[in-house]
Amino acid sequence: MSKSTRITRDQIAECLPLHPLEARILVVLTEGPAHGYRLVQAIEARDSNWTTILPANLYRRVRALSNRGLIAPVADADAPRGRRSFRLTPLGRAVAQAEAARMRDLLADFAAADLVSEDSNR
Amino acid sequence: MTTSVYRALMSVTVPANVRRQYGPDMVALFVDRLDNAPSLRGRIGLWWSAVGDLLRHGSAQRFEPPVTDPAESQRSRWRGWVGALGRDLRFAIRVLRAAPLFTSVAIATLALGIGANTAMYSVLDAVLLQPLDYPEPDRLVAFKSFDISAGRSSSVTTPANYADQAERSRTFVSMATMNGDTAALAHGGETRRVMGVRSAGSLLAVLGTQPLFGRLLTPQDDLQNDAVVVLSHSLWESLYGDNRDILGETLVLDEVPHAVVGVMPAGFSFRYFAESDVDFYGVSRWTQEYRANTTNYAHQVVGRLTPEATLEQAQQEMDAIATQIRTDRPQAAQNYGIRLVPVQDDQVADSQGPLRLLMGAVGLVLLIAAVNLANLLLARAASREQEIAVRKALGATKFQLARQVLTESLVLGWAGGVAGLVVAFAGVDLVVRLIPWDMPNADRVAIDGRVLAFTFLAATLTGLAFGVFPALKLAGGSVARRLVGTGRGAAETSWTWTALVVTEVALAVVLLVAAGLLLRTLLNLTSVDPGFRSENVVTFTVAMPESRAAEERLGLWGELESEYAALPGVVSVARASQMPAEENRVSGWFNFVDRPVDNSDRSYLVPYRLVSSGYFDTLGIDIVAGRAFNASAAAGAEEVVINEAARRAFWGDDDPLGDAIGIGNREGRLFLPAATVVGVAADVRNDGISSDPRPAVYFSAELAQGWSNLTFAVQTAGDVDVLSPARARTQAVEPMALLYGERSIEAMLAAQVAPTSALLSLLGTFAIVGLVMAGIGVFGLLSFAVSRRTREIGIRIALGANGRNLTAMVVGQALGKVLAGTVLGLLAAVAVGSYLESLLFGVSTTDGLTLAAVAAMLIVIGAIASYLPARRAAKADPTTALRAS
Repeated sequence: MSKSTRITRDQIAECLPLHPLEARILVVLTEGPAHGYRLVQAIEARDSNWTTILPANLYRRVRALSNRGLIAPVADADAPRGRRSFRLTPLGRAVAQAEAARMRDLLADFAAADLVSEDSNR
Repeated sequence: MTTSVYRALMSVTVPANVRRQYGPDMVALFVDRLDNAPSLRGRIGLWWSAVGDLLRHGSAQRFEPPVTDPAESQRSRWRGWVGALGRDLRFAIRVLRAAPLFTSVAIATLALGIGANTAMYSVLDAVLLQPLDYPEPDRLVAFKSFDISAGRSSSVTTPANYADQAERSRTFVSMATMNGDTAALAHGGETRRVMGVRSAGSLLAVLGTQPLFGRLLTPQDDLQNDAVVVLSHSLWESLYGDNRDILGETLVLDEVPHAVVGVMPAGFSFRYFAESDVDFYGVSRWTQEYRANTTNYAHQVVGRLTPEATLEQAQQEMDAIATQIRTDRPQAAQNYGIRLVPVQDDQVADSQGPLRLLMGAVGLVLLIAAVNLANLLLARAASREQEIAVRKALGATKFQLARQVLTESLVLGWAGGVAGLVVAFAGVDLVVRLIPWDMPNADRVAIDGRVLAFTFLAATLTGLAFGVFPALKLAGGSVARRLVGTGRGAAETSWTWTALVVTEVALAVVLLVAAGLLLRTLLNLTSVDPGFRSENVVTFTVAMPESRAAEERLGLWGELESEYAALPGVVSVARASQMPAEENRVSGWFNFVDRPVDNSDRSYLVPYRLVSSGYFDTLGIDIVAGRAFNASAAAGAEEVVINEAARRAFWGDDDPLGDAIGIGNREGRLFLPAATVVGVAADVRNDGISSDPRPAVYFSAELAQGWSNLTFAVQTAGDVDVLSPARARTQAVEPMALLYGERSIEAMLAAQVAPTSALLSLLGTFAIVGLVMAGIGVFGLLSFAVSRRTREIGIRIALGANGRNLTAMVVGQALGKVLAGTVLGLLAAVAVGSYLESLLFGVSTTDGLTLAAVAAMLIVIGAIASYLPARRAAKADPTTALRAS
């Protein structure tokens, strides 16, 4: 189904940086398609910064990702009735990788500035 | 309950488009969350947070760029455009309907301009642009012989050259010669004359159209003894009705039985010779000896390229073959070269110049119409300045205003286009009928999809062209000054008016110069003295059956001439191989019997005629030295008459009388017996009235042994019908003889002037329409420009200026613009004059008289057009003028 058009550097750059919640959604979707509740559960389990992600917030980000072509709705047999699942698109994966690289560079700069300490990720 | 409350909250916070896309997902997630909430307190907290969530994130999406999905955004942008366009269109139509006079004048002007262009384009498209009606027409190529030393090309070659080309070429699938042929067809007890094409190779196979039934001719047919023939659809129908059981039937053409082997389909026509449709397609019937002939340049050749070959490759191959031919036959083919031309280009070559000229002329008319409309719109714009200023003050952007004004002019353009189609439908037949030269595919002229596309394009471009000035003007400028309504800034608009006046005048000048040059050409053509009598001379051709022995035929020609001479009302009769003012058909190399000539020079190739002793008398051609032929047959055969041009060219100041000359091929083999020059005839325009006399030689008709067709000229006393009695006498002398091609010398001359006069009548009409439009336009422009200065003029008069001086000043300023336009137009006319050159006779494209006359005409029109409004302004009461805004 997915278009075989080449992903350009510009296309990726346009999507960066990602909103923190968008980044989290992409990471969860790398494990496979997920519907709304599964997404919020997975994110809240991993990231203590997010405690209760509510519908308008989540779907604002889902819509933004979907409109840019990073994720797409998908038929998911595992999802309960009435729950729509989304999957990661190739562009979404490429953007996630680029975001990771960006964060790694950023982290390196933080470290060089001696801003990274054991208790700073508390 | 839960879901409906949440939905209600959503409906007041989340934008509708987001709700449509993600509403159910959001409800589902909220339900999931509620179901998984551990306690009532948790659920209440969840409701509380959800309201905050909806308020914050839901409403935030109202202010986010609505959609970033490319396809969706494209759609919505389109929707926006279409909506705006719809509004603009409705508004434009309302505005135009509110000014019915302006709108109907504009549409009528455009209808004329666009209609004329559409009609002209439909002709141009059918004749020049549409491919020929043969399979893969782009692969058909015509061969031209090219004299590499003289740089001239002709459409004919020799049998030997053709054989070499056909034999050695690898880039052609097939190749064939073609020659027009008229034959006497005897069928069902009556004899009639039919047109045919005879070819070596297979012409029909080259053209590629399949027969309706039966088969085409093959190159093998040409080598067989039994003659075969393919019939045209119309000949088949007229002979056999729709009987298809006729293959193998025998048809007697020129007393030679031909077996019918095929019939071509109804739509197929072959107009290469452009005289009339071809009735039959036959083989060449060349003798073995003639196939090796190296000197008779008499055969046109066409070929079909292989699917792989390009025209360039074929040309390279032919260059090599021509080099080989020159090496093989250094004498006969000394300067032989080959030029390939696509058949399409070759067929339309004659129509191209006139059609392009006419298209250019109607294009100019349309441009003038566009300038007039720009002027009208500008005048309207001036009166709409306040409306526009209000809209601008209310927040309309420049772009929106310009778009609105452009939409109005586009609507006008399209309305004009639709009305123009009506004009085109009515006018296209007239245009085709008025075009006198024979155009291939004239029957295919129609208002079809391509023409409609052209009309739409023309209407759109015209709309844009006349709308862009007012659009720019209205959109720009200061709001404040317009709101207070002082729209009298002459300086602000003057450059626009100047540009329009100059453009309009220049366009009219170009049109008028073209028409003027053609008019002078026509006058020159009709006033030229052809050098021979044209009143009361009727000509016709008689075809003798080829079955008669040559000497027998010779006797019959003389007998016919005496029979015609004895008819009542006949003053004199002559017969000749060809009448004057007909395109030259036969030429030979001039030779002196007692001394060699340097025949590397093509000027020694001269046309010759075989004429009877009465020829010079009947046609009123003076003998300026010596005498004409002896009436006695035996003596006349050894005598020859030359014209003055021949004397000048070959004798100079010497006396030609008594010299023995001959006409033959380049190697000196004579076609006719050598003869003694007994007289010099005055020069006549033998090759058509637009070409200067060339050297020519007249031999005695007593030498016309091999000829089967001779033309008779009969001079009558007044308006006497000699044709019917002549036809009866012809039948009495030789029942198998055919009399055809009857027309008077006057008609022949008129036919030569006809293309120019018809072209002039078309172009002249366009020029007059253009001139009237330009005159009205210039008048309108100038009177509007002057009326804008009423207040200034009032002040000047109030300050004591003299009315006459004021008028002179205004007229002078206007004339400056007209003059500038005239100069520009003259320069443009001279620059595009080369397109006209080939159509002119006796006048150059820089003809001073024409240019001066056109310039004078425009200046007079400009003076009148500016004088009237200037005088009105100068006579106005200064107090009224001062109050004018």
